[in-house]
Order: sequence, then C-alpha cells, then structure tokens
Amino acid sequence: MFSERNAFASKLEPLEQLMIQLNEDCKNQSLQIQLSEDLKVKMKEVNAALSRNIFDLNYQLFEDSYPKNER
Amino acid sequence: MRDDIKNFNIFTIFIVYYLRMKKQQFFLLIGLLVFGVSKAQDIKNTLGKAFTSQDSSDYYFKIAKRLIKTQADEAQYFFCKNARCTDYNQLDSAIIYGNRALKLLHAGNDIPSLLTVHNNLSKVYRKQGQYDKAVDYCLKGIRIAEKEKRENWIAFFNAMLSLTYHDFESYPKGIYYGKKALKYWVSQKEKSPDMISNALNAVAINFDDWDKPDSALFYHKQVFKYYKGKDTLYIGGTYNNIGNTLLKQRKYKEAKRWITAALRINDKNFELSQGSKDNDYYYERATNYTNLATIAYKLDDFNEAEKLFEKAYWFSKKSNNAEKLRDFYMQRALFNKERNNLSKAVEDQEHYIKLRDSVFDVQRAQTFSELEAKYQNEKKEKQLLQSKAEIREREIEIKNKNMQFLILGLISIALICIIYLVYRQQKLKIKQQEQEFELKSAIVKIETQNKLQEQRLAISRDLHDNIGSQLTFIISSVDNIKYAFDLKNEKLDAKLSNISSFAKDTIIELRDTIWAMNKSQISFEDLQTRIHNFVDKAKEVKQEIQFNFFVDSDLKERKFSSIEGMNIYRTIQEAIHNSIKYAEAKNIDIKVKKTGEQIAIEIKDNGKGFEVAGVEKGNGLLNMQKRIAEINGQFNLQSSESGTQINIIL
Repeated sequence: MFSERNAFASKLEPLEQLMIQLNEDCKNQSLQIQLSEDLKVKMKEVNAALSRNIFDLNYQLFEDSYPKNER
Repeated sequence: MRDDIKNFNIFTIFIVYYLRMKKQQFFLLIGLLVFGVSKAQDIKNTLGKAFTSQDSSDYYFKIAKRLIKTQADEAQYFFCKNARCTDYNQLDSAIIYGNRALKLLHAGNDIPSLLTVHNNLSKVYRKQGQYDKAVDYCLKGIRIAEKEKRENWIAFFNAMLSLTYHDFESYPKGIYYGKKALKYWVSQKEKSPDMISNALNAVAINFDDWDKPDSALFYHKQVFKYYKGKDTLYIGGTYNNIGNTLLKQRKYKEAKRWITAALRINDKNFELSQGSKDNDYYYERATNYTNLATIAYKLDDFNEAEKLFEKAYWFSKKSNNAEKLRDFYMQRALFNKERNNLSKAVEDQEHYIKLRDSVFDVQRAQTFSELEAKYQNEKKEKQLLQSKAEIREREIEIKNKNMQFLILGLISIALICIIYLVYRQQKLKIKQQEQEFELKSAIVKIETQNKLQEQRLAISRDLHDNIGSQLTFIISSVDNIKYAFDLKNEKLDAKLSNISSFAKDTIIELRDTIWAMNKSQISFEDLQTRIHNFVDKAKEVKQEIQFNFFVDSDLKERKFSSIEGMNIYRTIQEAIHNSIKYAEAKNIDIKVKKTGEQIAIEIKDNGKGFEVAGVEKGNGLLNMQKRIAEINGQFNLQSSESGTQINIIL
C-alpha cells in the first residue's frame, strides 16, 4: 500500500510541477495583461491629449492661414 | 409345571437357526461357525461329526482327541464335549469339560465359543438347582458380552437370568431381567420370533408362579403374534405354560386341552428329529405329564392320575432337572394326600423338601445376593467410569469447539481486515484517480487560460508596436515640418514642439511598459539601471543636476513582480521628474535600505519645495500615492524650503 502511495506520489509530482509552472506563467501573463491594460488606459489618455494638441495645431494653422486667403 | 422353552440349547450364538431350520442344516451351520469357514481341517470335521452323531459320538470324539495339535484344537475339543454333554443331560461331565474349555478359550480370542460355554455352564448348574453358580456364569457371560459389545448375547443372558430367578422363586427379579431381554429383542429391526417368545415366556412364567395368572396369560398369548400355522410346532412350551396357568385358575378341562396339544407338538417334534432323545425330550415330557397327572387327580380321575404320575416321574428323573423333580414331588405329595395315602404323601413331601432345601439353602441365597451385588457394583463402577469418560470427552469436545470458534473468529477477523484493506485500497485508488483527473483537468484549464492570455498579449504587443511606430511617425513628421518650413510663428512652433515632446514622452512610457512586460521579475538593480537611463536623459536638459542612487547590497537581488517593479519605477520616476521640473533641485538622492523585514525607499531633493497643505495634489502626486497603495506600501511626502523628501515603505 505504501509503495503504491509512493508510486502515485511520484506520478503526481511532475504533474504538480507542471501545474506550478503553468500557474506561474499564468500569473506572469496576468501581470503582463494588467500592465497592458494600464498602458491601454494611458494610451487612451495620450490619444486624447494628442488629438487635442493636433486639433489646437490645426486650429492655429487655420487661424494663421485665413487672413492670408482673405487678402 | 412350566416348560421354559427348550432350556435354550445354545451351542452358538445362532440358536435361532436350531429352532427355525431343519436339523441337518443346523448342524451344517454349526460346523461352519464352530470350526471356521475358510479351512476345513480334519479335527474340525471330526468334531462336527462327533457333535451331530446320534450313536457314534464317542467314537468321533476319540478320533478328534487324537487329532489335537494346537491349544486351539484342544479348546474346540472341550468346547464340543461340553456342548454335547449339556444337550444330553450329562451334567457333571458338561461342567468338567466346560471348565477345561473356559481355561483354554480365555487364552484364545474365540468370543462366541467363550460365551456359549458360559451359557452351557449356567444352564447345567440351573438344572442341578445350583442357582448361585448358574447366576455367576450368567453374570460372567454378561461381563464378557458387555466388554465385547455383543448386545444380543447380553439380552440372551438376561433371559437366562430371568429363568434362573424364576426357578429360585425370585419372581420380581425374574420379571425384571425377562423384560430387559424382551425390550431388546422387540426393538430390533429384524425381529427374531424365537428370541421374543423366549423372553415373553420368561416374563410369563415368573408372573404365573407369582400368582398373577392374568399377566402370565397376557405375555404367553403375545407369542402367537409371532407364530402362525406350522410354526406353532416351535412353541409347544407355550401351549404347556398356558395350560399350566389355566390349571392354577382351576380351568381343568381347558388346561387339559392346551397341555394335550403341547404333548402332541412335542411328539411331532420328536418324530421330525428322527427320534433324538436329547435333554429337551425328557424335560418337556416331564412337564407335560406332571401337569396332566395333576389335572387328572383334580378331576378325580385317580387311576389316570396314577399312570400319568408314573410317566412324569420317569421323565423327570431322566431330565436330571432339580426343578422338574421338585415340582413333580410336590404335585404327587398333594395327590397322595388327596387319596389319603399319607405314607406316600409324606415320602414325596420329604423328597420335595430335601430337593427344595438343597436348592434354597441360606448360604446359597447369600451367595446368590452377593454375586448379584458384586455384579451390580461392578456395573455401577463401570457406568461411573463410563460417565467420567463421557464427561471428559464432552469437555474435550467443548474445548475443541471453543478452539474452533476461536479459530473461526480469528479467521473472520482476518477476513474482515482483508476485506477492509481491499476496500480501502479501492477507495484510495478511486481517490487517486479522482485527484489525478482533477489535476489534469486543472492543468488543461490553466493551459487553455494561458493560451488565451498569450493570444491577448500577442495582440497587445502588436498594438504596442503599432502605437510606437505611429508615435515615431508623428515625431518625425512634426520635426520634418519644423525643419522644412522654418516656422516663424512662435505659437505654431511651440505647439509642434509640444506635440513632438509629448509623443516622445509617450514612446518612453511605452518602452518602459514593454520593458516591464518582457520581464517576469524586476530587481532593484534593473530599476537602478532604468532610472539611470532616465536621469541621463534628464541631464541632457539640466546638466547641473547631481544624482545619487544607493541600493543596499542585500536588496540588489530582491525581485519584484513586473507590476510591483513598474509601480516603484513610475513613482521614483515621477518624484525625480517633479524634483527636476518643479523644485529646480540640483541634487537628488535616492536610497533603498532594508529596515527589519521592510524596504524603505527615500527620494530626497534640495529643491525649493512646496507647501504640502497649501498645494492641491495634482495627478502626479495622486498617481504616486495610488501606485504605492496598489502594491500595499506606505507613501509619505514631506516638503520644506530646503527640499522635498518622499518616503516609501514596502
């Protein structure tokens, strides 16, 4: 009975190791995804800021070019 | 006068055959039984002839004597002599040969012969009226039969005892032994009519002489259950005995009919036996004629009675039987008294008393009772020993049974244990299989999850690369516009610069994040390098800034997760950025130390500081606090005119 238990334990050990490894990987991936999500939020802000800046720039360009066209 | 049924001519255990079979067959059987079946030797043949021969018996015995070679031959010789003398009323000779045969037979192992000699001797002594000796031989015979477990012989000796006690006028005992014999013979599967009638007769004559004629007739008449038709030739004695009982009941005519019938039967038997005048021949006739004579004088036929008494006397004398003579003298004395022939009556009375005294003397009676007491004691002792042995056997049996129960119990327990172990083993196996299955299922699930996450990350990476290239394109486009068109409009130039620097900052941030994402763990050393890169870039703008980064050697290898590392990095980056951008600091110190189980990060500048309470916290400060809170750390900010200090405890 003990030998069977040992055999079973040794059979399960690599599976457990694999499981731990997979868990680690999963955890790391989760962290990476979290970072990615944070970055996504950040990128949305950046996108908004850049859009705003580009809009301002365009506005400025239109403002500058309008009097010239009138002439 | 009763006839005690042929006096039991037992030469062998199988007397039955004498009564049942023709005499020739009987003698053949006797020859076989006595002398052995397998090897017919000369002496045995000769002894057979000697026993069966009517006239040449002595001649054959002489030849047999010459043929004796072994002790066994000698035993058989005396055995046959004893039997022959017994049957032919040579009583003294029968005793002598019987005793010699007993000595030799005791040495051998011929039990039937030994029992037969005992029976013959008992019979002879009974005839002689020596009842003590007759009983002695009966009891000895019973002992041997009991030892050898020969039940039929025990029953036979019981019947013999019954007859002997009858002759001794001890009727209750006679009835007791007779009933014992009867019980045995009746209980047998194959019923022997001869043995049953013998026992019935023994019981009946005891009742008869005990003055209980009804009981006597009851037992006598039961004999007819076993004998029908021609077979009644074997029970002439019963006819006589019934007549005798009726005589006592004064039913003379009826009695005469029964006794006359008995006499006719005896005559017929004599004829069938080819005129063999053995012991029974005289005995039966002595009985019949005495009874008939008594009936005759009771019926006042004195002449007839006289004649019959003469015949009775002759047969009684020839029978050599004390009981017969005693009965004869008693009846004739009564007859002479009835006839007023007093002198003859007195003479017969004297004979009767003499015989009676010889039979019933005190010493004999004492011996008689002693013998029986001895036998009974022995029997009781034997029974006691037997019961002790039985108790011992039972105890052993109980012990064995207990042992068996114990063994059975142990086996059952062992069996239960084995079943339990097998059950547990199976249960364990099932549990193990379940565990294995659960583990494999979990692995499959995680693998699936990992694949999904991997796909998401791959998409994210593609997206980041795309964003990075787009930002780079924006930066280069803006820089190209600025360079190509040589813008005079300051406002426009500032806006373009702003877009360019914003895009550059975003790219840095993007790279930082990608850096963190590509690392599964981040150490302080990694952070230090990264922050140095950031400071180096900052120095490009403000070269006068002094920057110090100190990390405890113990903590250099301390690893953080990518999220933790990123949050610490961003906080330090934000703090440095604030020091450079707002505090105009010239000196920035970063120290990472270990305090007990915790890590303390100190970021200190010598800038102009700000009033913490007065300044509304901007996104930068809030972000720093939020990031540290996310990784379960404590954030503390102190600022004065001499500089700002941020303490982070992890």
